Amino acid sequence: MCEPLSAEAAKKSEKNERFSIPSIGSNSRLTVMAQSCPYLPIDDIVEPADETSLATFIAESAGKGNAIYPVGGQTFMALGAPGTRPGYGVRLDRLRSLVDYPAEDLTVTVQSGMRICELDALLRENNQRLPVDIPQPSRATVGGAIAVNWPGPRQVRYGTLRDYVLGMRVVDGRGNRIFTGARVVKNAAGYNLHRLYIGSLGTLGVVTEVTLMVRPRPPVHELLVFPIANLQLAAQAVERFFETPYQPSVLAVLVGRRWRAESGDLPSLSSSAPMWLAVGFEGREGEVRAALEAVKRSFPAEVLREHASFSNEVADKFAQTIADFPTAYQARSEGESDELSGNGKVPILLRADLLPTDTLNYAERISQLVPETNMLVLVGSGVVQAWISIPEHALGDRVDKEFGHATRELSGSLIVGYYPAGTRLSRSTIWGLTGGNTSDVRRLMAHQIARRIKEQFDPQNVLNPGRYIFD
Amino acid sequence: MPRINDSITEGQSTKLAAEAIRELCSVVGEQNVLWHPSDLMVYECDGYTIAKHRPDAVVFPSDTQQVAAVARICHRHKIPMLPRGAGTSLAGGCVPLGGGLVIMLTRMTRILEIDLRNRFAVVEAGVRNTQLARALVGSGYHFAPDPSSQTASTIGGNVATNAGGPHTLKYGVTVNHVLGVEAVLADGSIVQHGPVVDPGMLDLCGVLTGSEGTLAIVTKIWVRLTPLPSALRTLRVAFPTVEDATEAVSEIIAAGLIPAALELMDRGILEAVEAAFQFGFPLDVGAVLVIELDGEEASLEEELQITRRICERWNAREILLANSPEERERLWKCRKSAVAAVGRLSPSYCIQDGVVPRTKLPQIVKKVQKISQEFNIRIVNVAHAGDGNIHPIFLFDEREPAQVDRVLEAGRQVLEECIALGGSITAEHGVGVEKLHLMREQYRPEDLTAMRRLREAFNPDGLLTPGKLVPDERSLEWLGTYPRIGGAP
Repeated sequence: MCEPLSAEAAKKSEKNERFSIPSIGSNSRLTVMAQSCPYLPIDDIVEPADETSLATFIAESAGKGNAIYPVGGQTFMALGAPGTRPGYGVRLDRLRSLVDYPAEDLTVTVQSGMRICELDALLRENNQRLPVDIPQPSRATVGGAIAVNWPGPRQVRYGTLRDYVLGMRVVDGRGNRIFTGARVVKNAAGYNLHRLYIGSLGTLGVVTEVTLMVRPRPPVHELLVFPIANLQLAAQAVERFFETPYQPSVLAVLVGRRWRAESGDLPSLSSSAPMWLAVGFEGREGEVRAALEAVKRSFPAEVLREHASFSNEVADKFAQTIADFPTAYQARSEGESDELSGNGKVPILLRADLLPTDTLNYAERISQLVPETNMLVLVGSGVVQAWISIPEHALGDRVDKEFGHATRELSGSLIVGYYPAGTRLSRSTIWGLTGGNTSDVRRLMAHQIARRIKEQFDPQNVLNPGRYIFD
Repeated sequence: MPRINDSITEGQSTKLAAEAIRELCSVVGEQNVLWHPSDLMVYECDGYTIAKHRPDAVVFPSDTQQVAAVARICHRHKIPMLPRGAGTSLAGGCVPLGGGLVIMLTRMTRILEIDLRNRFAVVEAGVRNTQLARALVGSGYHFAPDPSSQTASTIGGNVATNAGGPHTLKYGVTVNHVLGVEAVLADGSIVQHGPVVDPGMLDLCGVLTGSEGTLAIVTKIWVRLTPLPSALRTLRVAFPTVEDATEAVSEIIAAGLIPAALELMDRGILEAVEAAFQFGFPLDVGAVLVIELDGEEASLEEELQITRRICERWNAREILLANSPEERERLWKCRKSAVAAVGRLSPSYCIQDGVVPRTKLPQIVKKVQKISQEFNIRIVNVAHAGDGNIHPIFLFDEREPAQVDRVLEAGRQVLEECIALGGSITAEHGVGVEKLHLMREQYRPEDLTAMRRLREAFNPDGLLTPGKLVPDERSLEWLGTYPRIGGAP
């Protein structure tokens, strides 16, 4: 269910008033934040009434040298380095309408301030969905999800937002309004500019409207969760299953005690296991049954001994729990100490992208480096997400050297997806810019092109300065 | 054979500086550089024969390092360059507006790696689409994009145009299957993005795909391999009218099915195909749909029954199921060769490519019929109906200039209707030179400026594929020499 529109705003002693700069538009709103946002040097959040107001505001800010920090549902505020220049937050709470939903065309166009749960409710009316995992759908917005593009358990079968965004409207760092792509599923006219805005953390433009490809909701979803003793067993099961022709919709190893807590209101996971192998299938009854049979035939007996099974809505809920892994910790324990913090240690979230065949070995390596790690290992798509806890003084060094080295050895990339506000961590450590990712000249060249693109679309560095890979 | 030094100094061959030619020869070998006008004729156009522009020279590099060295030479001498694959573009994507050097990637044909477990293959840009398909026979995997040109077209070319094909409704277009690229920039530097995802990097692969050689020269591609479905059902359904067929398509999608393919052929194209292949298509019907369902055996029968019921509801006259892999193969061969078969109906033909939201298919089909009558040009139709992607084929006689003019104007009106219905001027063939002027109708000036800014970031001197994809002053000037395409008032 969606949280009420301004739940977080109501909590704070906010003051809504007509914005004093006339150019922002008389219907725009300025919220003075009662609590400062620890990652952003802002006091106020502007909520433009429409795209024109937003464009004017960005153009003026560029002229004055103010920074603009676009925020959505604020579920990933700790992704990226702290903002470097004071300015305003911009939230698109007033741009959250449905623009067009020709369900039979399998497309939907919405304003980007719409929350994911609102989008999902709309699509559900036509038995359709966006088959991409987005953490905290009750808070996350469409625009925020695009800016972050975080991978989840269903990526193995359905890909990421990059495979579903067909077009968008964007306001760039000059205040120019750009339309890119089209509202059709196939378009070869012009550059796929919209691809640049997916995963670039709002540093090239503020997305105001998006056209997405949607898919029919599959009638059946079955998810099995097997308690297992170690990662080698997971590897055996996965290798054998890959010999079958079936496509799982979820294939993940959940490592660590935290998962029991995360699955709180679901049928509980076996309490003694150190980790679980989750495998899910979606589709018509017949194919899902056939795939489940294939699991039983191919998994080692040691794995099959015990399992929990979830169906349909409960399976969806469990898959969402897996997808929420990167943000659940933040949502629950902001400001509190728990088993990850204390003793001078700070919790961080690492995300490594690798070849699928390297993920389990890599996860093993992480567990050796930091025992008691809680991990989400997306075996099919090659992503490892790990919550680890390290003394602050050693943090940057260990991420760059130990974990970075382990990732570079496998030609992967490593970023930090969460760190507590105030932690000393450099932008290059957070985005894996040191060492491997840019070590060879071809990757350096790619970074040079990226910088040139940033200069073209945001020459004054107005948008999210310092947050992403750009200076 | 004339020696380079002799002929260049005699000034009889090329606009390029003799020094540049010598440098090119030193990189790729004399036998891999063409610069005699008679040798260059082949490269003045591609599958879109209406627009021609001769390059000043053509080179055949054999690896990325050679491509980079060639680009450095061009950069130093300020020579425009344009990469070219098999030249199967139907929109003039390979026409070197402004001349300069054509860089042929067709010698770069090595499949460097096939990694089934991680589901990717690494190919050089000149590997043909079916060459990779053949290498994957028996593996249980395939490279999903299968444009009708696939026996000739290269994967580099597929990337350049973000090629589609009949199976894109379910499997997506080329950009959904590119995991990484190695590319040479206009100054000769080499850039790589992928194959492993890097959240700390912009999606360069995404913008390079479909950029028609205007950003960089893609030399190597990491392509996604997709598991083959374990079962298939291929149907041929005859409908009394095109409208019945398109309504059936809409209802199939509304029923929650995503067929692997939904191909529409109208009566005109059926006549041509039948004359060429004697497949046994009915000729007294309005349209035939080729419907392919794929997936797990356990669910296909149910999907087949749903599909049948919908087709019957929309007055299907005949529903035939391909009974063997050979029959399916033959049905697909007919569909993919349909355009070539049109050659039997008319001395010249021109295939158009446009796209509308799928529910607008009946409207665009009606409009095409109306345009056909208004311009007195026979038009037959194939369409990837599931995607709303139409391919009206205009039949005419190239020797009659008045007919050519009517065809071009009729084509323009079809595409303008696509824009008006919320679609696009091209779904899979690309902009080339054919649709350059229409970019200004589909996009606003600000949108085109944004595209130019992207090009500026990759290709600041504009030497790489100048004047293409996004129209500018130069391209409009060049187009002025082809008044029929769009330069004329």
